[in-house]
Formats: sequence, structure tokens, C-alpha cells
Amino acid sequence: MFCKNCGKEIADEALACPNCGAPTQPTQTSTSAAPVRNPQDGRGLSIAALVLGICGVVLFWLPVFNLIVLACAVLGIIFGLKGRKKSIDAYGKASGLATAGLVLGIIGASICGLGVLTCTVCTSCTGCGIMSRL
Amino acid sequence: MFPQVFIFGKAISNYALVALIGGLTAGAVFCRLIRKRGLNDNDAIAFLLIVSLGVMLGGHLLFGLTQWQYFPELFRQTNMIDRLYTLNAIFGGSVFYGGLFGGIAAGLAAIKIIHLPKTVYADCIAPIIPLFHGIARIGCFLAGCCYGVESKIGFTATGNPFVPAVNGVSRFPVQLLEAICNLLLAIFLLLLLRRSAQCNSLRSELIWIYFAVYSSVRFADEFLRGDNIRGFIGFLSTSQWISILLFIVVLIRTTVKQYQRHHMAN
Repeated sequence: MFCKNCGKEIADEALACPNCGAPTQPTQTSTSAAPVRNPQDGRGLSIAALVLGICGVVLFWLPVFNLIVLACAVLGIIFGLKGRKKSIDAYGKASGLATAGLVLGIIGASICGLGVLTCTVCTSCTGCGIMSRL
Repeated sequence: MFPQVFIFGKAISNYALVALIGGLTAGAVFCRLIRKRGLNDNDAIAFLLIVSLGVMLGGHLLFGLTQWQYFPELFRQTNMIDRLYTLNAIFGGSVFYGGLFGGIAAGLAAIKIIHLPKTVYADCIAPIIPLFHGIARIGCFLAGCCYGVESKIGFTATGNPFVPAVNGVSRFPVQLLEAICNLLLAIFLLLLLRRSAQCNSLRSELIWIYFAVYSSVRFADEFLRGDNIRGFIGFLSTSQWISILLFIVVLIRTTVKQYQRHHMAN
């Protein structure tokens, strides 16, 4: 490498320039440490969004109760948005977990919404006819 | 025609499924457009969710208004279950223009609340509206709630559950025509959006171009529709009247803008 002060060519691992004595920049490996985890990165919110979204995907078929599941999945979307925003604020870009939480929240609410239309509101069902029995 | 699809033994409404696919596709394209402009796509998703609420509320409200003759029955009924069924019958459907205006109202509110850049969002949403609408119209075609006039060119439905009179007659597939027109309009507006990066005069104009083109096309193809139950005022359907009003609004806005530009230049 080259000394930033005098421009003379020096050894890569030199700590100081033998010509002018200016200290060299510390090499990448000595300063790189494990990436620091910011506790304010909304990880909890994203995990909650992931769980609520999965609930939406899995429990969409429960007649009547899927209204509660839909409400939870919508909450999952809100948590996913908040968690992703916190991740962007903490790290500059959204972490994989944050994006996954939001995406699962949206997919869970979508599938659960379809489930509510089918199994609770009965706009198109050939099955249980639960609404007519109430 | 094919109102339901069977997944794991459950009958899922095809219209809702296709609309969902359209919404997610259009949403993904919108987020990509926003990201390419260096903006936060988290805000874009929040914006889209608020707009979706507006679209659903607006669409169903306007549909309910066109079924105003059933309102007295709602008050005459005493049983809660009967009332729920009547509410479903009155507000169960959706009208595009109601969805459009509801979505615009919600979008403007979202822009104010989340402090979003208005011009960028207005320009980016312009091609997304016909993209979503084009895909959702295919769902409309499958559901059979709106249909075309009798025509030698077309399909003959046999399983329409909403209006049995539709069955057995060859009808023009006007929803497919609308879907194709919408998708072409979406491509056109996406090209204009790309052009607006170099051409300043296109900025914040895209949504008005959409209004002008869509209202004209809608007015024309409404004549090919055979579903008169959706509401008629005089000799034109409600959608045609709204199309005329929207076009007039675009004309007024263009005139005012030209006058302002002329005034500022002097």
C-alpha cells in the first residue's frame, strides 16, 4: 500500500510509514467485529407479526372464530409495519425478519379475509351452512 | 361463469381471490416504483393499506346507494338475522367509481397523516389503479354479477347464480374488454411515468390523464353492458353519468391550470 501522508510505497502490514512516521489506517480485519445488535430494532414486533400472520394462514377456515383471527392478522400487519420501520431506523435497511413479519402479516390477513368471506359471511359456500343454523 | 373455486373442499369466491391477486401484484409494483425513487417503501405499504380500506368502503357504499329501493325493507324487518341478510344484499356488491373515490379520499388523508410527498405518490399510483382494476375485472367476468349485452360474439353462461336470466344466451364479454383496456392503459401510464423523469410537464399530470382516458372508455363500453339492474338515471347508467362528471372535472382543472400558467408567465 501507499502512505497517505508522503505517498511512499510501504508494506501492507506496516503500522507506521518508515519514511515519514505517519501511522497507517488500521486494516479492515482489526476493526471489524461482530455486527452490533441495536436493541431498538423492533425485533419483538416483527416476531409478533410473524406469529399472528401464521395464525391467519393456518386458522382461516374456522367458521365465525376466523373473525377474531382476522383481527389478529390485521394487528400483525400493524406490528409488521412498526417493526420494519424500527428496523429501518436502527440499521438503515429493513432486516430479513422485519420484512418477513410484514409479508406474513399481509398474507395471513389476506387468506383469513378470504376465509371470513367463505366460512363466516357465506357469500359463496356449499359447506356447513352454519349461518342458517344460528 | 365460474363464481367459485374449490380449495381443500371449501368454495372460495373467485372474485375475491382474483381481486386479492390483483391487489398484491399492483401493490408490489407500486412499492418497486417508490423504492426506485429512493423513498421508504414501508410508508408506501401503509399508504396502500389505508387506500384499500377506502376502496372497500367507497365501493360498497356506492353500490348500496344504487340499491336505495331496498332501504325501507331494512327498517321493516325485526329479526337480526333477516336484517343481516338484507344488509348483505344491499351492500354486498361493489361499484368501481365508489371504490375509486373512496380510495382517493383515503389516499389524500394518508398523504397528510404520514407526511408523504404528494406529487410522487400521485404519479406512481396513476398506473397502479388500472393495473389492479384490469386484473380485478377478470374476477368480475368469472363471478357473473355484471355481464354484457346479447351478442353473437361471446360466451354463453350456464351457471350464473345471481341473475338466472343471464344463462343460456350468448353475451359479449365486456368485462374482458374492460380488463384489456385497463391493462393497456396501465402500460401506457407506466411508460409516461418513465418519461416524466425527463419531461417536467408530465409531473403530477398522470392521475388526471388516467381520469380523462378511463372516464371516456367507461362511458363507451357501458353501452355494451347488459346489466341494467345496476342503476339507471334516465337513459344513461349511473357509471356513465359519473364518467361525464369526472371528464368535466378534468376539463375544468386543465383550464384552470392553463389559466394559472398563463397568468404566472405574464
